[in-house]
Amino acid sequence: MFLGDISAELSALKGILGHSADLNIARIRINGVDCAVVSIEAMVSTLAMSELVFQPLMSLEGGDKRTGAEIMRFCTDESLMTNNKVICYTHDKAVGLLFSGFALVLADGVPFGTALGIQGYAARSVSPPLTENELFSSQEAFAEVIRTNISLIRRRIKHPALTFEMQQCGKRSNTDVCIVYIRGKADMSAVAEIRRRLSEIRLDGVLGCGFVKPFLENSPERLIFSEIGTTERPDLLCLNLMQGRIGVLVDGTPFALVAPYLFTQNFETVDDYSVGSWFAVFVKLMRMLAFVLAAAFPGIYLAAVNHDPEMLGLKLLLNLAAGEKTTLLTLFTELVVIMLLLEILREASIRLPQSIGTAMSIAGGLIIGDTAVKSGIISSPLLIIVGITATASFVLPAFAQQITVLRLTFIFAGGFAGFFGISVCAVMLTANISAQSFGGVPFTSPLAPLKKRQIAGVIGRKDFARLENETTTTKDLT
Amino acid sequence: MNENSENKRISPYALAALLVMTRLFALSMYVPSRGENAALTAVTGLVISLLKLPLMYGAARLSAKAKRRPMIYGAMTAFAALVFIAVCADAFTDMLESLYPERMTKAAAAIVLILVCIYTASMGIEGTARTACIMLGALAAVMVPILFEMRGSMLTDRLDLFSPAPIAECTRSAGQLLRYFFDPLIFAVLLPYAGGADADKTTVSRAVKPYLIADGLITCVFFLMNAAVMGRFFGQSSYAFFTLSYNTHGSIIDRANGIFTCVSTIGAVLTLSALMLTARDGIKLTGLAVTRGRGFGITACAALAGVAFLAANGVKPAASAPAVSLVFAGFLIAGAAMTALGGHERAKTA
Repeated sequence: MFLGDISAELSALKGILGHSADLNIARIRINGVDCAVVSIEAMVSTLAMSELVFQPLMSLEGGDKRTGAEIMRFCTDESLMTNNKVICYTHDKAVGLLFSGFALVLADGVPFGTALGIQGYAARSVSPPLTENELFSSQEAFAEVIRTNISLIRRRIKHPALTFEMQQCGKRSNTDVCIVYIRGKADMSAVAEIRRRLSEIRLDGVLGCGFVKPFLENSPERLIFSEIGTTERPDLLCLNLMQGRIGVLVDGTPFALVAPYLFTQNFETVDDYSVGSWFAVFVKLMRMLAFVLAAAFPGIYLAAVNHDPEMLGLKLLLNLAAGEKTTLLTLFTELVVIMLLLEILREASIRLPQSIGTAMSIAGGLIIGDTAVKSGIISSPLLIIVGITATASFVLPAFAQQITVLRLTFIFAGGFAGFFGISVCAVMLTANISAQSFGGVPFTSPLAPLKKRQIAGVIGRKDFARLENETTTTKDLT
Repeated sequence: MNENSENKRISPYALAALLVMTRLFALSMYVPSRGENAALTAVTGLVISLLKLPLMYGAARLSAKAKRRPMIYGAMTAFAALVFIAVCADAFTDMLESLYPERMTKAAAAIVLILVCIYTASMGIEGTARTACIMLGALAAVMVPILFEMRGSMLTDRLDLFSPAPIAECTRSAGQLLRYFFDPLIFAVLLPYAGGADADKTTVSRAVKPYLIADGLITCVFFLMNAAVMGRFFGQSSYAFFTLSYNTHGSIIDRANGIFTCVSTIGAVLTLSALMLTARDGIKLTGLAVTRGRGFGITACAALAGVAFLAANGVKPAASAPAVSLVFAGFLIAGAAMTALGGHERAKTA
C-alpha cells in the first residue's frame, strides 16, 4: 500500500523491480512539494511524457501554492493530461501499469499514485497478412499490440453490442488476453466457459496464441484437427463474430483465436463474398479437392500401383512401369524419401533469410529433383505426384501440420495394406473429426448433423438476398 | 456445458445412416449361388425389406421394455453382438484374404480391423453416427459415377424373372440375404440414443422408414446390375460386389476394385463399431460397472478369443452366419410377440 512518504515509495518500487536498469525516476519539486514521475524505459513516449506530463506539472510551479493532494487532484480531475488515468493504491497495481506503458505520478504526503497512459513502445505497425492472402479483401492483418487489434475490430463493427472483456493470463508474464463477442449473438454459456478456461491457465508465461489454444480445446493431444480456429485477418474474425462466434486476442501475437470453429470453415475465405456465388462454389470444391489431394493422393497412388494395378488404364500402367523399371528403389521407399525431403525443404524455406531463399529453391527443385530423376533414384511420374501434392498443400495453409502427418500416414497405410489401409485411415480420421464439439456445436456441423439451411454455406456461399433475411448464430449448428 | 456427458443424442436419420452402412457391408459380403437369377434376388430383397418393417417396430418395442429386465436383455444383447462381431470379422477377413492372397494375412487384417473398430467405437455414439453420415455421403458421391461407368457392361436382355424353381431359388436367396441380420439388434440397442428412454412412434418411423427405403433401393439396384452384367454366370471372385467392380471401365480409373474394397472396408468398420457399441451397452445393462474403454476392450478380446477358439476347433464363424441370424430373428419375433401379448392381456384386465 502507498503510505505517502515519497522516498519510501520509490525505494519500495526499486525493491520490487530489483533495481532494474530500465526503471526511470524523474524527481521534481513543485511549489515546495516533492514529486516524482516513474516510468519504464522505452515503454512510454518521451514526447508525450514531455508534453502531457512534464509541461502541465511545471506550469504549476510559480503559481498558487498547492499541497501534494492538490497537485494530485490537478492530475486526476483538473487537467486533461491523457484519457487513460488510473489511481493506484498498491505497489503491485502500480508495477503492473508501469509494465503496460503507464507513467506513475507520485506526490509526497499523498497515499496513492496516478498512472497516466502514454504508451510509446516500439511495435510493428499493421501490415498485410502473411499466411491468409486474399485478392479482393482487406490487406490488413492483426499486429502484436492487443489494443491495435481491438481497434481493427471496432472499426469494422461499429455496434454497441460488440463487447471486449480483458483479463490477464500467465503467472509471470501477466499477458493481456481479450475475449471479444457480440452480445445477443454469441452463446453466453460458451463465453463463460472460455472465461473459466482462461482463468485456469497456470503457465508462467503466455507468449502467444499457441499457449492459450490447448487450454481452450477439449482434448488437445487426442484430436487431429482443432475446434478452435486461428486467423490473422480482422475481417475474417469480424465475419465469424457476426455469425455468433467468440474471438480471443492475445497480446504479443498477430493472430486471433475463434471458437467454436467448424471443420468446413477451414475452406472458407473472405474472398468468397467478393466473387459471384457460382464461382465461390467452384473455388470451395477446388479447396476440398486440394485437401484430399494433399493428404491422400500419394497413398492412393501407392495403393493403386502396388495392390490394385488393374485400376489404372493400360497405357498409364505401362508408362508407370517403364518409369519404375529404371529406378533403384521400390516405389514405397521412393515416396517416403521424397516426402521427407519435401518436408525438410519446406521447413528450411520458412526459416531461411529471404536472400538465400531463392538459391535454396533452385538447389531443392532443380538440382535435387532433376538430378535425382536423371540418376534413376526416383522416377518422373513420382515427381509429378509429389508436385501435385505439394502445390495442393499450399492451398490450405491452416492444415499444414495435419496434412504433413496425414500424408505420411496414408503413404504407410497404402503401401502396407492397399485400399484396406487407406479406408481404415479415412474412417479413423473421420471418426476423430466427428467426435469433436465445442459449446454443444459439433465440429462436423452442418454436414453431420445435417443442417439444410446452412449447407449452402459449406459448398459455396449463400447469396446476399438470403444473407439479408437470415440471422445465423451458432445455435443453428447444434 | 459438459462435453463429456453420457447423455449423448443422435438424430433418427443418423441412426438410419448407420444401419444403411451395415447393409452395404452385408451386400458386399454376398456370395451368389451358381446359376442364381440375380433379378429374382432383387425382388426377394425388396420383399425382405418390406417384411423388416414390423420386425424393426417390434425391436423398438422390445428396446422400450428393456429396463424391466435389464440383466436378461443386456446379457442376450451382449452375447448376440459378440457373436455377430466374430461372424463379421471372420467373413470380412476371409474376403480380404481371397481378394489379395499374397498381400494380406487373415490374422493381421483381423487385428487391424478390430483395433480400428475399437478406436471408432470409442469416439462414442455421436462420433460413430456422424462418421456413418459423412461416409455415406462420400461413398454415394463416389459410387454413383462408378456405377454409371458400368453401363457398357450391362445387357438388359439378361434381366428376366424366369426360374425353373422360383420358390427354392427365392428361399436360397433369402437365406443369403439374411446372412447378416443384425440391423434390428443394432437398431434396438442404439434407438434410445435417438429418442431418449422411450422413443416415440415418430422417432422410430424417422429411423426405420428412410433405412428400409434405402435398403430396398440399394438391394434392388445392386442385384439388378448384377443380373444385367453377369446374367446367370458366376464370378471368379465369388463375391458379387467385387465381380461388379471388375466390370467397370472408366476414363480415369479402369477397374474400380480398389474403390469397392474401400466401400466394403468402411462398411465393415462401421458395422463392427456399431456392434461394439451394442455389446458395450449390453454389458452396461447387466450392471457390470465398466468404464467406456474397458467395455470396448472386453468386447474386442471376447470376440477375438471366440473366433480363435472356434477356428482352432475347425468351426468357421462366418459359415454359421445364417444359423446365427435365424436364431436371432427367432428371438426377436418371439420377444416381440410376447411383448405384444403381454400388452394385450394388460389392456384386457385393465
